[in-house]
Amino acid sequence: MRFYEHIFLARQDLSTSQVQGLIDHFKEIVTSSGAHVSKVENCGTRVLAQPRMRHRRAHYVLFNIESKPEAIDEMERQMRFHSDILLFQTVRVDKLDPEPSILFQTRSHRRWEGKGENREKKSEDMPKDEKKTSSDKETIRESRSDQKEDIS
Amino acid sequence: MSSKDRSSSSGHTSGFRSLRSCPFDGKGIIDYKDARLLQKYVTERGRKLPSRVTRVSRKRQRELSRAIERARFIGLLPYMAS
Repeated sequence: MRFYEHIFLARQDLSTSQVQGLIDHFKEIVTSSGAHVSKVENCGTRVLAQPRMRHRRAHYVLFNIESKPEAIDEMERQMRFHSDILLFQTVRVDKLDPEPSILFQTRSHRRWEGKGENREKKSEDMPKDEKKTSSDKETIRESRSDQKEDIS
Repeated sequence: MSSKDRSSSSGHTSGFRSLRSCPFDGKGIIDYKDARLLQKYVTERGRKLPSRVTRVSRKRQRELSRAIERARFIGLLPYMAS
């Protein structure tokens, strides 16, 4: 068994629940091959240092995996076909760090990201009955378009 | 950089040169996810700084170089900043 740090970037227009779905999906793929995922970090969306594949922002997700190389190969193969994943990187390390990574710690330091979190919190404060309606999704989309304007 | 460095590159080796040690001495592995740290070792345009400027040891410069490449790939550092 070897230790790996795996980072993948998902398209920024995915909702948090969709990102969670991706995490569960790929976690299941590696664990079904006998791997152990010791840490999953959803580091939120970040501005890329420069546009990659016509995307300016992306969701960052970090996996700490203890597995055989075959399990990683299989997960990467599936990621290549997945349209929601921009890119991924697996790094073999000598030992895994159980502490929160720097990516995770600095996730709220970004100016626009803090705004986004506040807005999501506001939408959570709304009555629970209206939470999973289509109108709620629309408000989230609107807030995203606002953020784009902020950046430009 | 200081005049000390310029004088050493032109052949006047001052005795102080060896006193400045590698900034990564006694520290752990260079984390490729730490963009703020790596940013100190690239220029404004995003190019890697030479170790003769930053005084990073040859071994650490190799590690740093690899970390910068990894950070660039996942979009934490630019390949070329505009």
